Amino acid sequence: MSFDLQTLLGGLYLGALYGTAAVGFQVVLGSSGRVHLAYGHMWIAWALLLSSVHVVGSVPLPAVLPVMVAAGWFVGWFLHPVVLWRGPLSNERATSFFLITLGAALVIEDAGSRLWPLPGTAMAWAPEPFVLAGVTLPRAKLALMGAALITSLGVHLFLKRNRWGMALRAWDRGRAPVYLAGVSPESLGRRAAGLGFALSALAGGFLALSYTVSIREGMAMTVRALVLAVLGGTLSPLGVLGLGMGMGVGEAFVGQVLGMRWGPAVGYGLLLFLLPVLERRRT
Amino acid sequence: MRIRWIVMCAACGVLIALGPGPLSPYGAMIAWTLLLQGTFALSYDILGGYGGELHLGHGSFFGIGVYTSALAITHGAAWWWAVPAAGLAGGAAAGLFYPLLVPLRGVPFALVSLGLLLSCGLLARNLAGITGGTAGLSLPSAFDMDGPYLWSILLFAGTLWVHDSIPDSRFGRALCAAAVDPEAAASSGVPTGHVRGRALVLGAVAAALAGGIYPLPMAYVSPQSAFGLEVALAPVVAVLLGGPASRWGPLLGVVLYTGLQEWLWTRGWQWSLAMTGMGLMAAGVFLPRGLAGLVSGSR
Repeated sequence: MSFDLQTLLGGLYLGALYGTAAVGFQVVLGSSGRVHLAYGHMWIAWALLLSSVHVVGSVPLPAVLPVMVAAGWFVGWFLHPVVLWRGPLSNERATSFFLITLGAALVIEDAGSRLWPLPGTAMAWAPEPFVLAGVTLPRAKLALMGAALITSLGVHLFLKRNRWGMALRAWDRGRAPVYLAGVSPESLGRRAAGLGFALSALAGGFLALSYTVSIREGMAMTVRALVLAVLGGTLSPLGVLGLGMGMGVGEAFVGQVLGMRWGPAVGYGLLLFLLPVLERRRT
Repeated sequence: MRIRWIVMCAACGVLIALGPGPLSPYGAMIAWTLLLQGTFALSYDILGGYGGELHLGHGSFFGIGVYTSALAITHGAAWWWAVPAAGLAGGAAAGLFYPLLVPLRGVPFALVSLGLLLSCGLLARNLAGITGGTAGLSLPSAFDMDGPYLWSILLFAGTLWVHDSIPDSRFGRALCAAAVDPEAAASSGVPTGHVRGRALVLGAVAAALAGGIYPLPMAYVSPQSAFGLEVALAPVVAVLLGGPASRWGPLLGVVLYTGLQEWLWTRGWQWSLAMTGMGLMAAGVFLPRGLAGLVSGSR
């Protein structure tokens, strides 16, 4: 019983990490209407970067994480729209976006596997766990799960209450309402990309605090984020987080039965069998 | 048309008659790589070019061919049985994927086909009892280049013939119509699903046959060499660089891409995955219709 609860807790925590990253992915998906295939690689690259700066550079964690989130925002705000929204592709087919992001994923994977040839080690942040009703509850994971919940709630409130957030939701349904509300689509795209990539950096930070990851897992992470973003509902951060936790629990139990190496099969299975069903319903 | 085919047949005859003998071992390996990559790219172009889909999972058929052939050989089959078995396995896999892929179009098609590729890679890594897992499979010994080289020429010529016949055939016209406007094509009596399914199977068999030949001189296969992204996406990059749905575009792309990769490799630049990525990015930004589109040779 205790062992199953432990697995459940581990799955919930893992899913909270997936959910946090998928919320960022969904913001990018909602603003561009396109699938960003380099997102998972960026997520892991942030995790490895954080680990390197903290461990090798001996920079304290509270200093690294905010800087990294700000850097994520910078990547989204300044660089991303130049290539993908404002560049020569603004009116091109979705295929071009797809190719560019897939290409970027491969470039990051190749460069990342040279910078970090071995999987990045989980950082030594392990406060003393406590035991409740026979179940060991690690404080670090609970704290990070809480942080993931607060982050998703924050994005939820941003989308519901903030002018730009509401514009982003309107943008997802079509361009006309945004133009009518007097919102600049360019600024909206920048803000959305900034937020999306800041969230990827934050999720990378969470990942680095507890898991050993390799840049080679980038595409599997993108597929997970994609599945959660598509199935979680349109711009619904809490729905995505909830689904993420469900996926994490699924992976944990698959891992318990078949071995951890089968974990990605849950995401791939959902992609292969649910996406066609949803697409058929849509059309 | 007829003159081109006479030239092609003559060229194949000369290549077969000479064999890899006049070439240095390195030259023979390059020629063999170009033939296999050419076959792989032409097979991709059937559904990826004429069918108008971004078929990112096409490499899964190549990988299935690689493993079928390697497994058959390690279980004692002669290589000339292993290669057709690889083609059959590729065709069977395409039949299995048919209901998943054929009803989809555009980005969902690309994503699901990518999911298939990733799933095949996962199976190859994790079914260690069959595939050898991440350590891969070693064949009893590397084969002499003569046989695989001859088969590669024949396979390349056959795939080129099929690819070249598509625009002028009833099937090809139906495939192009289904790609351009599926609703109009369906209302004109074109069985769009059936046509796309045939294109999927046709491309899969050719890719799996190429995959079946691949392990022969290597004597070793691994999930990375069969289902790795740099292997699986190489034909996509070549076709997009050269120009999809064009007569010579895929081959132009293969020569350029493989040539550049080899040139960099001999100079110590072993960045094949990054190069694939940069090729994809360049194709997305600058060459939406490929080089053949620039030269106005595309249809």
